[in-house]
Amino acid sequence: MDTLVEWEAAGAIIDAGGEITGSVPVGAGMAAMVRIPVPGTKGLAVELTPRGWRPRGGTTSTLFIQDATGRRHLRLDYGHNVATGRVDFHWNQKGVAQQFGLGNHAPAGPGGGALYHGARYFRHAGRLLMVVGVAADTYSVVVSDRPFRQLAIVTGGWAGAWAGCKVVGAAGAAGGTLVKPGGGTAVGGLLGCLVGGASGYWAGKVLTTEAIELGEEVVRRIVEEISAREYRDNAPLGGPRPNSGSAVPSAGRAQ
Amino acid sequence: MKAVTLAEHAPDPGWRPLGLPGWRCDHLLWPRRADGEAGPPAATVAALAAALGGVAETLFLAEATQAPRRLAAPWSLRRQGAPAAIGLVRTRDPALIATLFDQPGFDWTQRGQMVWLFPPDAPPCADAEILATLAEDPPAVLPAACTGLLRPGTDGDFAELATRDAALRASLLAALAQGGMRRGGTAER
Repeated sequence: MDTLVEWEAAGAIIDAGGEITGSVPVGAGMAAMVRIPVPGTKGLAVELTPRGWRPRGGTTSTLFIQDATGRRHLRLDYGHNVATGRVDFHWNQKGVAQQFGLGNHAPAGPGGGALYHGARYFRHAGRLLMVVGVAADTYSVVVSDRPFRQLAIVTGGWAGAWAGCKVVGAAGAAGGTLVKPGGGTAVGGLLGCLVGGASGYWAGKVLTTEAIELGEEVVRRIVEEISAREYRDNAPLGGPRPNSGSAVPSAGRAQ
Repeated sequence: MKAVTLAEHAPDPGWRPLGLPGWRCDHLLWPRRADGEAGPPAATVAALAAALGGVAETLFLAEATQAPRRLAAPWSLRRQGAPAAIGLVRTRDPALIATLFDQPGFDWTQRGQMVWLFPPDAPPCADAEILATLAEDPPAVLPAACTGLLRPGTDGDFAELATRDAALRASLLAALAQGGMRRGGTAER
């Protein structure tokens, strides 16, 4: 029986029980780097890095729900809060007060610190995992005896991860907004993207592999049919004539 | 609180002021917006734009598609989020100056804006001088012809006004006072 997906060569990480866990780093990496759309907000998306230029000192915010230019945004910040006169965790917003019901400098509440630091660590860890995923999949292509086939499978996995992150992440963001606009939006979006990215990576590889297998099967049958016709056409008169495809020498399985 | 209040110290104790020799820093404060939005209120924007346009040539960062002058951003600035092409607007028109507080990609409230002030007859400065200003925070060098610099403070809640030319400072503060500026303010609590 053919192996549906050459998991070890596909850059997947196999745990001690032989289960596939390679989709997890890609899912986490996607969540850390992809814009996760927030439905119904006219182009806002959850991200872990700011949009637009900022000075070299960088930003003290770690979590952003923003449009493509950063002009409209909600961001979780830590620093001096002009509203409280203290250094604290707070939300800064511009142009999205209606969507999230949070004013500029609104205190982030008791969970704000955990969310702030979690977003920071997740951004770094996600990027690292993304590099691990890219390296593993690149390695799998390089060492594969059928590199183009493997490249197609890997590409399908990454496309699936991206699509899964976007779709499930958007659903998570919408659900999170219902629970707690702002923080819930971000948490829901990131978790949804992680799950959707991991699932999409796995599904993308499986579907691509099945598509390739199907294509190879079609090609093999066509080759067999052509070989059978040639055999029938070239057989000497009165000689043995094949009455079924099974008598035809196999064209071999496409490799 | 007035539309603009002049303060000696920044409201954020952790603020790092421009430290170039020969430059003096003042801080311009304003009330928080009633609608809960970030950035200065409309009255403050109007007062600042009128004062800046009245005393100096004002150069600020802008979206490249809307700007008459563009410069290619080096990789170091791209890593800081700058677009491939940085737009620059040089004007004395208050209506145009007012747009500096809401430029896509150069968000005032995230400290992504920089405003250079030049004497009215100053020649255009070189691209390299502009890029050098953006390289450090706070800026370590400024264009030779530049006599003033306005940059957003923490969360864009105030502005740091740095001046090298005492005459420019005096005329700018006089223009702001004419617009109702109060002196000796402290951070709003």
